[in-house]
Amino acid sequence: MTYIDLSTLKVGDEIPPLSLKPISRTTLALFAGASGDHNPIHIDLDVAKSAGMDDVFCQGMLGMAYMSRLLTNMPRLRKSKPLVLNLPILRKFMHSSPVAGKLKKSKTPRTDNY
Amino acid sequence: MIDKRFIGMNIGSHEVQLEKGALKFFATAIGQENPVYFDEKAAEEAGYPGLPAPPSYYFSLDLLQDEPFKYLDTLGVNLNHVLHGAQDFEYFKPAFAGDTVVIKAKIIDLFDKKNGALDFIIKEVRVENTEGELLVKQIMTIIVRNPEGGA
Repeated sequence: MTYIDLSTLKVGDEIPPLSLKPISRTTLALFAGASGDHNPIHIDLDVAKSAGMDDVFCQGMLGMAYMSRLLTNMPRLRKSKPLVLNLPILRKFMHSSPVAGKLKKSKTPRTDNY
Repeated sequence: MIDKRFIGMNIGSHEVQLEKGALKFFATAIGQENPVYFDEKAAEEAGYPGLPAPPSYYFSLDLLQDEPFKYLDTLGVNLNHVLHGAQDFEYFKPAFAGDTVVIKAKIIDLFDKKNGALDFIIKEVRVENTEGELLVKQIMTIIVRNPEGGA
């Protein structure tokens, strides 16, 4: 197991980019089941349309789960203080690229108290 | 506009036992590639007592109850008008498959913007172990679109 010593991390260090497969309605359905977020607006086209959306759209927490993979792909961190994650959800993505969009993230999430 | 008297309202608490099957399903659904989250042997080799809960799974624990959105009814909010605006996590101690955790939720703030066209609900969710130790603290920002504008 590889560890990163937190004292060696500094602002500006890059987290390796994460490429994701296109998001399909199947992705959203599986995440609904796995995450417990059964809000039908993400999986039922009839409900999405009745709420004024053109299509179902990505659960915010799916975007966040992908963001968290940026961290879980890294070597384990040695930490003595609580880890704080503050990740704004990508609402623009949720609505502009509901399905079959491609995500590639290399932006460093804001982290405090490492 | 949501009645400000709901600030401070306890939403309730419930217990969840982390199940390894559920953790593996979550890992698969998010395309997790790090085997410690779905392979018990890899978790063991990493020195974990079981499969660890992935960072954002703690949010799902709050949903693992009979009526996770019932508090929105209490606030008079239509689920179809709700957007998840932001989610903050603060991690103190990890939880693993087999652990029982207690989830406690409350409304800690309510405010509106754009003359009431948008309501904001700030909800705190604490995940504790059965000894009452805080494992993860979450702050959820919920945005409510009010198509008819301010009340």
